[in-house]
Amino acid sequence: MNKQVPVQTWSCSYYLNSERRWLPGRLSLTPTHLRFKEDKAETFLVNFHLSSICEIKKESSSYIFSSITVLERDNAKHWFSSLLPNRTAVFTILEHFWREQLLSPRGEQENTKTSKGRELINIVSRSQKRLEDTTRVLHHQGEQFDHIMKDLNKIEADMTTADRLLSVLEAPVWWPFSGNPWKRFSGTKEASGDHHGGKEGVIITIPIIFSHHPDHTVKPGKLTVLLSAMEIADCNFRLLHRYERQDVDDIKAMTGHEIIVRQRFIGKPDITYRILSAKLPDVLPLLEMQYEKKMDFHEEAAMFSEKYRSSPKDQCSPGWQTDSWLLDTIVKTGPMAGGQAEAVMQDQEVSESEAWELRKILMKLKGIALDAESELERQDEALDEITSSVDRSVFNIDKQTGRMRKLL
Amino acid sequence: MAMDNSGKEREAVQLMAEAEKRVKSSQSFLRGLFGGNTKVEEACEMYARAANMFKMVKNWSAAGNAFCQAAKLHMQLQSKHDAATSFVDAGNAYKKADPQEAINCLNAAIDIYTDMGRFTIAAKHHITIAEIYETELVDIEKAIAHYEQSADYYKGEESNSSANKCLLKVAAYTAQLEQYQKATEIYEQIGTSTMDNPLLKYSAKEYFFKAALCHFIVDELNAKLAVEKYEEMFPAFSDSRECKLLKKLLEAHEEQNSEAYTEAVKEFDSISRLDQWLTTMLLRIKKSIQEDGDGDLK
Repeated sequence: MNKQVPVQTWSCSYYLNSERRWLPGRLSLTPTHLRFKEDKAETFLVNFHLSSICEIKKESSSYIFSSITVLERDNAKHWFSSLLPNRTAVFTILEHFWREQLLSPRGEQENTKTSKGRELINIVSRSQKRLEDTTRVLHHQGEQFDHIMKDLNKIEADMTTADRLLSVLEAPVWWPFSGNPWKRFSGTKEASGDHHGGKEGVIITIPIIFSHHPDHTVKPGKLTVLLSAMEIADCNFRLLHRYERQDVDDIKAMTGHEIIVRQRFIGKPDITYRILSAKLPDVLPLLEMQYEKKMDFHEEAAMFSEKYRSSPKDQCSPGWQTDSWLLDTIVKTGPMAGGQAEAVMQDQEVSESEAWELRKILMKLKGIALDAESELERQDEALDEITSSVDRSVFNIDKQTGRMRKLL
Repeated sequence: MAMDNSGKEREAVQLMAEAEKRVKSSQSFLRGLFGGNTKVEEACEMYARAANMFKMVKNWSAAGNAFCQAAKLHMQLQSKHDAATSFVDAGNAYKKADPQEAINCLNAAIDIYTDMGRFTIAAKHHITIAEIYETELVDIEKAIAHYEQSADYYKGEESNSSANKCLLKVAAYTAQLEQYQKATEIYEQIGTSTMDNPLLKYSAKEYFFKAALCHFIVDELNAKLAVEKYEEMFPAFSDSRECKLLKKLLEAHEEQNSEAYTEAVKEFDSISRLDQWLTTMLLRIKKSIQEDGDGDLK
């Protein structure tokens, strides 16, 4: 083997995986190799080229020694511990020499001067990097908010179901209809006050094919969406079922052309209708407006949902170009300032190409900032909605717990 | 101080014994008929208390064992959710002493969560397992498998950004293990999926850069074609420093000019410091130049 003079050696201990014990010895670093020799041993126990390193990390082993781990190319991990004088120093040196494998050519190299422009570019692109990372975090956060909203909507829908079921339970046993007689009465009173104009406020009627849940046979019929209810009739306009708006527990849109409407009951089967129609895509937005939280869009149906349709388009950012004046002035003032000390000024100035690059990066920065701003505004709105939704849920839960206690 | 600790430990051991007695007595025939379950419930609570005491004195494997017992009793009582949380607690305690056992406990918790349809939580624990494989047991292949599973679950729940995070780990590790084909596919897929997103499009160039690097290690010509493809797909890529670096590196490689290669890398590094992954990959490419060339790196 080649006898290279080590750059530095440290006393340390090495973890021998096969025997599960730590060996004291010396770690030595040459410009190209990392080696470990056990005390009093003749040969190197560990010896590999720096370029086969995959990763150098500071870690603590399970016995709470702070150590440095080096991951070698063929997936061997070396643990070095009890490093003297201290771990950070050794780590920095190791990392430096590893990176030098990549960065330094074999010949010695003079230090390249950095001009003002380069420095500026460095600073700006570093902030760009940071901002890019920030957008990623922001996006992740936004996604989390969306999920919270979705779950909260589910909770609210469940709460209304629970509310209705509770009213059923609260009703006297002899009352044959669903719902509390007194409550129901006052409820209908309110509702009838609402829309006494047209007979029932029919919004739309469409031809459909439907099946009543346990039964799989499909029949043609009509679906009428009213202000306060949904009616399913056969082709002769004979009413088969009427869902009052507050009775519907969930509507699942399987595809754009198929929905399942369900009302749940205690002690008897749910009333569930499966509805198919070519006209459904027209009705879905309506239903979504009426039953927003009870609607559940499956994957393929999602594109029919209002929310997805109105998803933000790439808005053009106004004033995109305005900020580059600053750079222009920098470039222009450059030559003007140059008097007798031109040689000195040469590397002070921002050259045309550097200014161009700077301008590009700055514009990108601005773009990121604007996008981040709109995302932040969106998240702000979402947060507002979440807060009020949580408030509502807490209030509802309290009310329902009270009612349940009474029932017991 | 030490006295205090040994007292706690003794108390915990006593609690464990007591809990065990309760469980045994609940199994006798008559007890089984009347209120055997309350005995088991009490035992559960005792195990949990004992576990917390073990935690206080930092006896991690005893704490893990106690939580594990509690979890098994919860299973017996059909309270799945409690069982899962106890398994997670057990896993976290074992993590500090017995990584393999920690993984077993977390896997048990994952089974329960997936059974209940709680895939997001299951995904989270898959990540924990992957991290244990990554740092404690150094079994990168297994870590990759768990990250992949986690990504799958996240995707199913529409948590794309979490899924991407896991996939990026997978890609980084597969590249380290020299399975470049797979790494390339993942980076390309993430790149194309993020380039149209208003917020994520700024990171897309990085993914394409990494994909191209993986191509590069395998075959220079492929890398060239890939770069062209990415530029066409995502015009902003041609503007990026990453793309410019790639082109310089490709040129240097073609000419077998290791100096030019180093110079390009150095310039890039002076602006944004290369991370360890990039260092590794760029070194591998550089080595291939030198081996093809004069091979003085031996």
